[in-house]
Formats: sequence, C-alpha cells, structure tokens
Amino acid sequence: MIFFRRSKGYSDIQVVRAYQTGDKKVQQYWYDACLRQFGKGTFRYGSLTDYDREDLFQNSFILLWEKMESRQIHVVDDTIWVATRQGEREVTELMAYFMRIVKNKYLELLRSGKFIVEINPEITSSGDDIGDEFADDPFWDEDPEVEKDRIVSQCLLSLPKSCLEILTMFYYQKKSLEEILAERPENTSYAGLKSRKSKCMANLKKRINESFAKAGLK
Amino acid sequence: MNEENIDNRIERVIGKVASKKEMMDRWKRDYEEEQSRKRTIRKRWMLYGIPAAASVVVICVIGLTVLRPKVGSPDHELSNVTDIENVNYPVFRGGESDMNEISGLIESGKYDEAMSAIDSAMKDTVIDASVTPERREYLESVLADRHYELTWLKIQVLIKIGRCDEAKGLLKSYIGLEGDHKEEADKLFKSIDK
Repeated sequence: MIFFRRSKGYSDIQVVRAYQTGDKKVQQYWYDACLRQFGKGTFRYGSLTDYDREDLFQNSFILLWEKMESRQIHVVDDTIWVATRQGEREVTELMAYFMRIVKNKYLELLRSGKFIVEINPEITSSGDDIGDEFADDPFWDEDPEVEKDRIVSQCLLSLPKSCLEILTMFYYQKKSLEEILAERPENTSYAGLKSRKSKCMANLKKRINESFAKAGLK
Repeated sequence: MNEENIDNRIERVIGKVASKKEMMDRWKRDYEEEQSRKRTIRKRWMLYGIPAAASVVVICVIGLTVLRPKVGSPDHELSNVTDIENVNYPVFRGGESDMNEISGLIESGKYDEAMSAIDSAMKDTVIDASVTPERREYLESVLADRHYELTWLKIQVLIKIGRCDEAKGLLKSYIGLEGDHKEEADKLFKSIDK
C-alpha cells in the first residue's frame, strides 16, 4: 500500500513488435509512457487549448502507431529502423522519435493555425529543429497504398471534432442517422444531420484529393 | 480518382482510426484511474499512515518511559541492586540481608565482626530526598524496626564480649520500647542489674 509497485517496463523493440502483433498489454504500457512524456513537455505547447493539446497527442500517437503497424518502423537484428524516401534510418530511441512527431505536428499547427496534412517536405524543413526523420514526408511509405491510408487517416483526424464523431458513428459503429440524431442533441433535425454528414464527407474528400495530389498519388 | 475506391478507403480507414481511438480512450481512462488511485493512496498515507506511524512511535516512547524504572522509585529500588550500589547517594537497602549476615557472625562467634556490621548497619539510615512522603513514612517505620532489631543484636553481642555495662545502658532504654523482644529484654535487664 505504501510502496507503489513499479509496472514492468518494456524495451523499444518489444514495443514495436507489440504494435505489429497486437500485444495489448505492451501497447497500453507504451501509450501510458507517451502520455506521461507528452504531459511533461506540455509547457512547450503553449497557446493550445486543452482540446487541441489532446488532439495533438492523439494524432501524433496514431501516426506513430500506423507507422509501426504498417512496418515502416520495424526491427532488424535487434535494431529499430524507419523507412524513409532516402532509405532506412536507425531509430535509436522510440520515445524521442515520438516526441519529434509531436513537435512537428505542433509546428504545423502554429504555422497554419489548424491541423493540416503536410506532404510537401519543404514546409517541414523550414529551418526549425525538427530532426532528420522529418526531412522527409512524415506520411511517406514505400507502399503507396499504405501511404494513401495514412494520408486519409491524417485528413480524417484533421476534421472538426463533430465531423469525426458523425462519420465514426455512421461508418464504424454502423448507426443510422436516426440513432445518431438521438445521441447528439446538438443536431436538432434529421435533415440538418444528413446535411452535416454530407458536408463532412465532402470536406474530407477534398482534403484527401489535395493531399494525394501533393504527394503525387492518384 | 475512382469515387467508389475512395469511399471504400475512407470507410476502412475510419474503422481503423476509430478502433485505435477507442482503445486509446480506454487506456486513457485506465491511466487516469491508476493516477487517481495512486493519489488517493498517497493522500491516505499522508492523512492516516504518517500520523499512525507517529502515534506508534510516541506510544513506544511513552511506554518505555513509563515502564522503565525511575531512580529512587520503589520499583527502581526493587530492581537490580548492583545498579543501586553504583550511585553516590545513600539508598535504603532493606536490611534483611544485613540481619542474616550479623546473625550468622554472632552464631559463628565472630563477635567483633558482628559488632562492626551492626554499627555499620545502624549508620545506614539515609532516605533519598526524592521519595514521596508516603514512601518516606514507610521507610522510616522500616528503619525504626531495623534499628530495634539491630539494637537487640548489639545488646547480645556486648554481653557475649563482656561489655555488660554498655549492654545494660542500652537495655535500660530498650525495655521502654514496644516490640517483639520487650519481654526478653526485661528479663535480661533484671538479670544484669542484679
């Protein structure tokens, strides 16, 4: 009771493998570690609301998750590597890599005033101390399909919260518009909700098309 | 771009992102519950644990202070006699061992040594000033009884060594005292006085 039991730590290699194999225990451990580390550095993310700060963390974490899941970040001979447009690069410390993702997203947010999907490497190499990993496109993957999915994911996360909620309830939770209307008091009418959903999808597709075009993807 | 493809891709990615966010929300709840639990434990420790530990320490200190015999107290006097012998101030020893020793010397015929022991015992009359008034009264009565007994032994020794005049002098005042040896003392005085 008096002495807090230290939770078992896992190595970076174990974490990368856990996100590839679906080991929930290690995944949760890594989430907690990132949350703690992010919390320590939140003073650096001034001018953000609590909501934006939470978004910043979530979007950064999901990006890292997707990179590990798609094996863009992978383990070879007990060393962690990340595939970039210029070739393989060693990741010496996974937490530092994650915090660079956070920093990069934060800088994008400051420059644009909102979350955007930055594909153009010129924007990321503006002279800010971002780190070598982001001299390339942060969403790049050697597999174009994976890169497209990543772009779609980031475009989705860049939508307003209400759009993300409606689309998630409709496409992921498979709820009807009537059920969504019942759960969302902010939507006052069926017609209004239907219109809102359509606008969200149109906005999302627009962002995706723009991002694909920038990345040279079709 | 093929609209159907993009719709399918969007739907698939929504599913992937939503499931990740669901899992992250659950982890966040677990993390916050764990932090809250740790804060509660810390709070309880501060609120109850430290005072409880401090109370145990205080109780032990008080207990040791109370149970440990104080110098000059009856319990202290009943405790290790060797401790008593090392202090500088005179302490009433009780006397029974003196009586036995003196009786033993008399029976052995060592009258000079017996006399010396009697005189020494008779001088040992100081009561520690720190005792309570009740304790002082008790010790004074014990001293008086002891003096009565020592005087009787002294009288016997004086007679044995032929110092009858001294014995007679002591007996004259002794027979006026109430005690176990009054009757014997009377008889002895009358026999010496003849």
